[in-house]
Amino acid sequence: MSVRTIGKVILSEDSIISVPAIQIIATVPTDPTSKKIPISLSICYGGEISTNDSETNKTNMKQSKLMSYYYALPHRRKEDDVIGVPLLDTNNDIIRDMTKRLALLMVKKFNKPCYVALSIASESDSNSLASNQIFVIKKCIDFVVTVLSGPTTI
Amino acid sequence: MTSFQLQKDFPSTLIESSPELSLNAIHFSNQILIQIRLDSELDSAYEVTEQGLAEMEGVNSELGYTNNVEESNDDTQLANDDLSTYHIVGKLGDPDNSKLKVVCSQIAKLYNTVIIPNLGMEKCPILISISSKLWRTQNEATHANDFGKLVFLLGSIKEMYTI
Repeated sequence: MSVRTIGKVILSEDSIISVPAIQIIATVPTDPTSKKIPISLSICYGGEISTNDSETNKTNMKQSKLMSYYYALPHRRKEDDVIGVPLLDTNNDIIRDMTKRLALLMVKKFNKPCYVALSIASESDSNSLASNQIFVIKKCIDFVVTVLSGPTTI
Repeated sequence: MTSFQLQKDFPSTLIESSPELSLNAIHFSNQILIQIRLDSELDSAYEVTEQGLAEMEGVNSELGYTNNVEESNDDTQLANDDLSTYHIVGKLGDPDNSKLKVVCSQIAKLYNTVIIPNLGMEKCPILISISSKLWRTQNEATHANDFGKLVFLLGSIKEMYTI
């Protein structure tokens, strides 16, 4: 198996600042050094956790709407440069900006091509996205770092 | 969003090196995103939407469209071509690779006729990220296996949804 796909739901731990739940599904290469195998990241921002079954550890999330899909890769000749293109664009600046930023950061960090798909559960969630952008980006990158270096299950 | 995955090896009769096919489909409320990796590589993207008159059910019989041309008595009966109703936009990759566009329309047809009714979903556009190494337009020797590869891919997609 040269890729594995792992999903995780991240809930806000801080009781003072509440961030909507984030569901991440990442497909990463099993060999962290490969430069040709792209990382795919799908993020669902927002949505309620309707049931939290402690036995199966499953959470049900509302259906989310795909807003933006971005592709980024390292520049072939200029080593530190990163280039990207939106595959699915949106007129919502915050969402497009966030997807683009996350994709470019991932490529800079992991040095492989990256596909980022961002979806939101409801329109109201997109308003809180602007203030929670850094939190979401940090959590996504931490997740990919863990998955790339670690075992197959989390 | 809900996700489905499958990993399988291509039989060596279709592709000699028997590369691994990885499928990952994610369902959103407005789109389906499917990633088809060959040996984990991925480099082209297409968006498929359904457009055209075939969508309007009542229109077909009035316009004289029929699926089976031989049965028609009138010489001017028109044949219905399902696949032409799919509008494929290349988002990433070689625009001259027409094989991949045909494959995309076939995948979309599989979704609309089998998978979507099975899951009880509504029809929606499909975003397909695929490796262009699956169907190259050069190299005559590998043309013979193109159809076999398509059938294998469609079968694998069906298997991913355990249908």
